[in-house]
Order: sequence, then C-alpha cells, then structure tokens
Amino acid sequence: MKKLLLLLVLITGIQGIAQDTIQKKINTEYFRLYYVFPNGIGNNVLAKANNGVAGIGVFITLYSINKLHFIIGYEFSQYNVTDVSLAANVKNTYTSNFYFGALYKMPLLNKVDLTTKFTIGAFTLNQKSDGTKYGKQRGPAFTPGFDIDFKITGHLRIFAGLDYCLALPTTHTASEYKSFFGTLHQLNITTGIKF
Amino acid sequence: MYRTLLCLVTAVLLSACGIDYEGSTKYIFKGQIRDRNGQPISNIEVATFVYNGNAEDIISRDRTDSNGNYQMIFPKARNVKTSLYINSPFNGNNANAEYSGMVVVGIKQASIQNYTINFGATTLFRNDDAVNLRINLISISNRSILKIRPLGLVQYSEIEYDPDFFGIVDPEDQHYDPFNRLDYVVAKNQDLVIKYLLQDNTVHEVHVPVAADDVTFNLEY
Repeated sequence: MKKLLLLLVLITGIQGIAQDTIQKKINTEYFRLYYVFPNGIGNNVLAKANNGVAGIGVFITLYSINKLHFIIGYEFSQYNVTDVSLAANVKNTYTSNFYFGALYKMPLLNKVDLTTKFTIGAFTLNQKSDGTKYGKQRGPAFTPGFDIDFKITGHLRIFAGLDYCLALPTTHTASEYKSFFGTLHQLNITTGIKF
Repeated sequence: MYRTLLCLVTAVLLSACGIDYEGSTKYIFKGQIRDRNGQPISNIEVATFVYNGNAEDIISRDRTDSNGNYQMIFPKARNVKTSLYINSPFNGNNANAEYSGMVVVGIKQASIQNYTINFGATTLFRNDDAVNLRINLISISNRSILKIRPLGLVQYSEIEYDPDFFGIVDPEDQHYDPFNRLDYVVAKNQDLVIKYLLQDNTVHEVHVPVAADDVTFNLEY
C-alpha cells in the first residue's frame, strides 16, 4: 500500500513537473516586436490636434514565473499635427515610452493565448518640423492592455492587441489647459510577433 | 580628420543658432478681430512670430472664427523677440486682401501673465475704405528723427505691445516697418496721431485729421 502511494505521489509529481514544463514552453515569451497604430482619445492635444501615423515597439522578458512575466521595453509613435493653433506650427508630434511592467499569460485555446499586461514608463512627447526641435514634455505613463496571440511554429507567435496609455507629462500653462496638455490618453492597437 | 572636426563644429554652431523651445511650457495668445463698426471679422489669419537674432519661426497660427476670435497655444521660446502678425504680408497667401493688416511688436515674456496674453479687440479696416498718407519731413532744428509711426487705422502698421514704450531697442526691430517709411495707406475719416522720436530721445505727437481724400502732411521737427 505504501509502495502504491509512493508510486502515485511520484507519478503525480512527475506529471505535474511535465505539465509545468509544457505549460512553460507554451507560455513563456522572451521577446516581442510590434507595430503600433497610435490613437489619441479624449480631450487632449494628441486627440484634438494630432492624427496618429505609426509606431513601433519592442520588449524583452527579464524574468518569468510560470504565467507571470516581468518585461522592459520601448515604444515610439509618430503623429501628424492637424491643428497648428493648438499644437504649435509644427509638422509632427512624437511620443516615446521606456517602460517596465508585468504581463500575465492565459491559454485560451490550442495555439491561442490571451496576455494581459500593465506597464509603467518614462514618457516623452516632443515635436519636430524639418529638423527643428520644439522642446520636450516628460512624465510617467501607465499602460494596461491585452493581446491575443496565435502560435505559428515553435516559439514564434503573431499577436494583435489593444493598449490604453495614460501619460502625465509635466506641463506649465494656464489652468484651463493644464489637463489638455498634461493628461494624455491613447488607445493604441498593436500587432506584431513574439517568441 | 580636420574636415570631420570642421563639420562637427559647424553642425554645433548651426544648432546653437536655432530657437530654443521649452516644450513643457505652453503660452496662449488670444484676442478678437473686428471691423470699424465693431463687427467681428472671420477668416483672418493671425500668427505668432519669434526671432532670436539668428533664426526666426512662425510658432503658431490661427484663423478667426465666426465671432472674430483667435487663439494660439505654443511652446515657450527662450530669449526671443515675439511679434503678433495679423493679416499681414508675412502671412503670405493666407492674408485676406479685403482687410488691412498689422503687427504687434515688443511682446516681452514679462507681459505674459498666467501663461496668457489676451490682446483684446483689434480693429482692421476694409482696403476699399482707405486713402494714401504721405509724410514730408521738414527739418527746423538740428535734431534728426530716429523713429516715426502713424498710430490709428494704418495699413501694415507696427504697434508696440506696451503703449508706453516708444523707442528703438536695436536696428533689427525695424525689419518689418522701417522708421523712415513715409508713405502709408490709412483708413478714411479718422484722426491719426503721428508719433516720432527725436535724436535727443524726446517723443512727440501730432494729430493729423484724415477725411475721404489722400493726405500730405508736413511734419516739422
């Protein structure tokens, strides 16, 4: 009886370890490269005086514990200025976000995972026009988001997701415009590869 | 090696010539454009011009709305002279040919309160409601004129933001409206004031009535 119990424990343990190993292989994400469709929302300068053009982002996993990953990454987006009376007489606005955070991966279907994430970043907004620079605004950014990926082969997956980014760059202006320039909301669609 | 160094030094010098902006500080310029009857004029372009001695920039522009209101928000530029161009030739093809234009000069950082300047109501006149004014300078003393400005409804007039200031900061201030300009287009039926600065730094004013015909005024100084 004792032998049977010992065998059962061993089998269960080995099975658990094997499942963990398989699970880890399926879910561990080491690197992500993605395209951003930037989009300002709400009542702020990105939404009212700019049109999102394109962006790119990359992150790597620093450490993972099962489904939980700790990541560090960088994202850069370009906007075209559409209202020069609000955003200054410049051509482009650029945002960048150097971030770290965590993501949690949840298997949905065979080959399909759902990933939720939350990052905190160092956000920078700057404007340029034909090489002329118009200063920078810096502040923190908080980005919850999610994506759904599909396994292509091995570790390679493609994904599409949605990120909401709240950026709070430092702004000195009249009180009625402080929020307009200092509380920026973005709802960005992301798509790319991860492995 | 030397060529590379020269290129680097040149690049640094060129970048130093540009205007230095402070992106986190946003200034707001606003006001209203009206006609002589006090009615708002829409679709008039207003631009904010900055100049640091080496580089210049139109940092913001706007068009008046149906209520004649304009508003421009732009980053602070450090160590610049700031001017407001209203429907002026500087606005290029955006200028409305039906109305006069003007420029407000001498806008200082210290004038910007709570990051804002409200220029209030500015009056433009219709170009078909104008006559010519010619000023003849007649010297009756040994003092020369350093600066002369007709104040009132004057086409492409240059107005000091600080009405108490009437001087010459440096010759570059005269790039838009040279002090020795003596021919003007002015609105009909107004009482103009010609203000002038003499060599001894005394400022003088003389009133010039303008009716419906061209005017020639002999200014004795």
